[in-house]
Amino acid sequence: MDAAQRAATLTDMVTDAHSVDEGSLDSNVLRWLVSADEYYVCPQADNALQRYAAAAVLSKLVPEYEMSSGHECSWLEILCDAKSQIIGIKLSK
Amino acid sequence: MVSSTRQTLINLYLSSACSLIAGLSGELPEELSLLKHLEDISIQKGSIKGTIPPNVFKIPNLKQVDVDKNAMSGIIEVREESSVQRLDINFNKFSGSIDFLTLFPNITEAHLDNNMFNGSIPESLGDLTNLRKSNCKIIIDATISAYRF
Repeated sequence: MDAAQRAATLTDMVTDAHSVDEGSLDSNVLRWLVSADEYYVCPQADNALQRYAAAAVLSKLVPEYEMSSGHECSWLEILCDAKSQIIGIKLSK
Repeated sequence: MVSSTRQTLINLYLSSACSLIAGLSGELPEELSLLKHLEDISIQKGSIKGTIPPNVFKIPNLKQVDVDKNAMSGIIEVREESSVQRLDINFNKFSGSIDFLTLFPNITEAHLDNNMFNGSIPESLGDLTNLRKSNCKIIIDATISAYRF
């Protein structure tokens, strides 16, 4: 899969998810996921959509938030289970 | 005595935590509901506005929603039965009725105090047999009388 195909597949995946859940797509986060994120998530990966969603949530609640290129389960505000699925978000003073 | 390396790490951590506090704002994004395995949403002590997106309550195994001490407002809309067991929305500006509680059949704790709820106490609240801890002050029918349960 080349870069253009990857970008198109990720975009379709996020767009489809939003159409189901009535939300508006976060184009800045999608752009980060597709072109700037050094984690370079594969569109077929189990965590592709959760990575987008976690980044969108954190960037909208904490505008200065800088996304890390590590797995999203390593992000300070995120709690995952043994299957690396996000089960908690904690933001507080 | 703390080594200089360790002290540097402590300072970095404190610095990071402080920048997070300063920027906690905006509204709860719809993207929360894309996280289908979420069990715990704890976003406290910030300046979050708006209401809780209704789709959040559809997350299948969601157990806790804690948005204590923010600036959230509006009605709480729950469209179908939700798995939420603990709800803490103390110290916000939510309004409307508390009928939504009846769509949380497994709820054990409901902290609703210091909001602007009004209306009547739903009769079916008594069906929430797991509810063991709750607080809420409701203005009944917009009069000055208040009811605590």
